[in-house]
Amino acid sequence: MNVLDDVKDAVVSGNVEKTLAGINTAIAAGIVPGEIIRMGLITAMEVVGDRFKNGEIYVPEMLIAARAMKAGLNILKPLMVGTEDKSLATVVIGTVKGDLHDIGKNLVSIMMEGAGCKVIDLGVDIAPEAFVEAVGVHHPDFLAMSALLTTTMPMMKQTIAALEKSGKRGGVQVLVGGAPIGQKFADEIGADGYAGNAAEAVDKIKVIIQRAN
Amino acid sequence: MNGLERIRKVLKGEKPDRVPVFPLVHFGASHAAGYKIREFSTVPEINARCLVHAYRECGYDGVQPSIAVMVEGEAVGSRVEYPEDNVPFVKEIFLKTPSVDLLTMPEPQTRSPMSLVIQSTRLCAAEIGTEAYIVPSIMGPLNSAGQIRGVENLMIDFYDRPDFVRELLDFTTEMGIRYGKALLDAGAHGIFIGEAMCSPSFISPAFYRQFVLPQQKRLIGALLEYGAESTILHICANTTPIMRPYAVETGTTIVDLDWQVNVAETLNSAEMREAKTLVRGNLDPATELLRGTPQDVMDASRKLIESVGKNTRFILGSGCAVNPDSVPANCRAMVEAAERYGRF
Repeated sequence: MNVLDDVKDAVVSGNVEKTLAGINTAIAAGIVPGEIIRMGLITAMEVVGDRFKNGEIYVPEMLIAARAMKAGLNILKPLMVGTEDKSLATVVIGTVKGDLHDIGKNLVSIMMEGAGCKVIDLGVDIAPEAFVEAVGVHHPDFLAMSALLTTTMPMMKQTIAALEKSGKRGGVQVLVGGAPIGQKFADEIGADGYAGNAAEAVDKIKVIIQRAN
Repeated sequence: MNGLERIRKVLKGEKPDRVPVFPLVHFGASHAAGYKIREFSTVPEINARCLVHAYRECGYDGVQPSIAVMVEGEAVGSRVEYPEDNVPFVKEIFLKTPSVDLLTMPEPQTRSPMSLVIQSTRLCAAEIGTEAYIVPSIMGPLNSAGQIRGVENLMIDFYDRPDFVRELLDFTTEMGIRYGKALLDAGAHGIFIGEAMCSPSFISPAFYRQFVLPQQKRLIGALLEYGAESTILHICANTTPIMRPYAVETGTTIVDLDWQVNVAETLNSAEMREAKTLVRGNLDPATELLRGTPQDVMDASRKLIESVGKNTRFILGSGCAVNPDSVPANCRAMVEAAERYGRF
């Protein structure tokens, strides 16, 4: 079996040891780090995303796969040179002000990283001004917001308003998600996209990028 | 017929005058009585006053003394933050090291914030306990564990250290039994058990069955044996794939279904009919109850009541927790719908 398939399978099953062993074998065989990431790690996370969407795996399985992927990235990233290190998109992500729920946001963050995005995770309880500031600093292609409470979902609208007021709304696509959020709400507050789960969030980004190209 | 009689009727399988209405209102009761969520969450007299006020304003059939999902976590030592007007949450988990030996079993009567909910339950029971069904909330074994260990840690613990997860769930189940008994002693008619993380949105049906179901059985069995008239078990999100263990095997009297589940189909399944489990459900608390008008809520409630037919095992509920902006008008609309369209 191809060594990159071994890496992929190890990540999918969340086995850190086998992931690292596979990566070392691949490096020794002269495969460039970018290729190992694309064919080993990113394809693995695509499988994970599909299985999650289909209800074949759940949050614990996704988290251990992500842990294996991250362990792999930690070895490979420093080995990458020059133009090899090109990300799919830059994403600023966070849970809105007043809301401390982070697991959904973390899963989205993981899947986006797994799809080859550069992700700046601001954390939880993020005020509109903090989102705006991060957009100013990182110039992301996407701003992703999470809210798990009906009492905090209005903060999404306020964050979009703050972006508009700052003149930074135009350059960034706003994505929203979280248990009480739906497409209708996303449309009402003027978001560019809604995703029902972490795998869908990646699909959404890919669709928007394709449309833009 | 008052709310207490109405719910006791359906618990006995008898016909009440109309479909009972019992939305999940806890912090949702704060604003209508003129209080912020922090006051509701920290002062037992205000907690009870808000619940009784919302009950009277809306006319539904019971109250649920509670603060939020963090009660058990704070009781064992997780650090909780109380925003002025938002739901309190665990800011720092207690169990950073995966060892159950670090935990001390809290004494509910004296340990805050359990003692606060017990006191609020006592006050509600004294004021409306002969007319309304009083069902304070406790957290289920897995939810409590999440508030002590952290949800993400716990999810990974399932793979890295399953024995620790079992021990932690043993602890949280025992804690739930003690806390639930103290609430029953304070005058509660039944106990509501919140389990956000058991649905397939989080863990597999296999993990649910293997790790959590035996503990929920033990918790529910102990509370019913102690004299609870009922238990209401609430698992968030789409629980259809685990409906049999959840609604039948746990032995719960009532399941409280979130808005993603089809209530009529669930209620009419052969095994649910055989188990005689009651179903409370299931408007959409965000789309319908928060952002809809009273007319929207009436329409949605009517649709739900009609989909179920005249079934004595049905209680009209709110799916999940009600937002303060839905009280009183939209919760009152649920009651109006039951009066108009839910007469037996």
